[in-house]
Amino acid sequence: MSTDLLVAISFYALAAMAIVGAIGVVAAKRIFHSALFLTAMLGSVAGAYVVLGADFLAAVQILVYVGAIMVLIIFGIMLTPQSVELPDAGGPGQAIAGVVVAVAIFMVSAGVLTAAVWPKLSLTPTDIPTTPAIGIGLLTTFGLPFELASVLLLLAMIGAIVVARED
Amino acid sequence: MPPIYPITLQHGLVLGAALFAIGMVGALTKRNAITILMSIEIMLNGVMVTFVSFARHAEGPALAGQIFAVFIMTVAAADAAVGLAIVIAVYRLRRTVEVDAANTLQG
Repeated sequence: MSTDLLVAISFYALAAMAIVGAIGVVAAKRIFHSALFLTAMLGSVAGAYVVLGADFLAAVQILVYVGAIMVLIIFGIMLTPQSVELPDAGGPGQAIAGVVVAVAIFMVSAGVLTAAVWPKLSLTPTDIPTTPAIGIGLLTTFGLPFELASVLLLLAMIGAIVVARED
Repeated sequence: MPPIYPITLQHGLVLGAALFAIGMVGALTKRNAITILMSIEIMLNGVMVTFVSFARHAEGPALAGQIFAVFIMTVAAADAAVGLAIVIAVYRLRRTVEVDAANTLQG
């Protein structure tokens, strides 16, 4: 059994789990089930990052998304008790319209992306350790965005405190 | 259609597009503000999968795509924090998380 086949099998398994989780988030009747499906989906995407050669991002995905953002979302669910699950907005008509628009966007983008010829593509994928390269990139080429990101996080933190505070 | 294996660039791109579309269904049709936030997280994940696929198959070891994904994650964390703060503030005022209830600014 070649490595390519193993990689392909794990990619398909993780992709299927991610898509099932994403559909579960949208289709679940209770919001807490949506949150659990979202956790599964985020974990599967982290696995897909490993298959795609992004080991650092996979670890960050687990830490930030599964660790921090999911805790935040579950806190949000718990702090806003919901007696009944709300129906989809605008009834079935809007649901059908939303599905049609999303499927159309998927068909167009997937068709274009698979049909397009990418001239600058390397045939041998880069499976290098990514952490040093990302660290060097963040502090050299992407230094300004990196600093702006820290300002953005500070603003978001202050803004969240100000908005959510009891008067 | 690309071959079944080995995994090529197109496989990752189609996975990203699928996640984006599924998240879009939720963002367009749901009424619960927290579900809409979760759908937006799915859409952001689809975009990140696309960036990571391109980073894997681009020429050279620059990894700009993965660095972009790090920034997307930063913005996603910021938007989750502010978004949930807004949801809690709206809940305190209106006793509901239904987005249709927060229509004071509607003309």
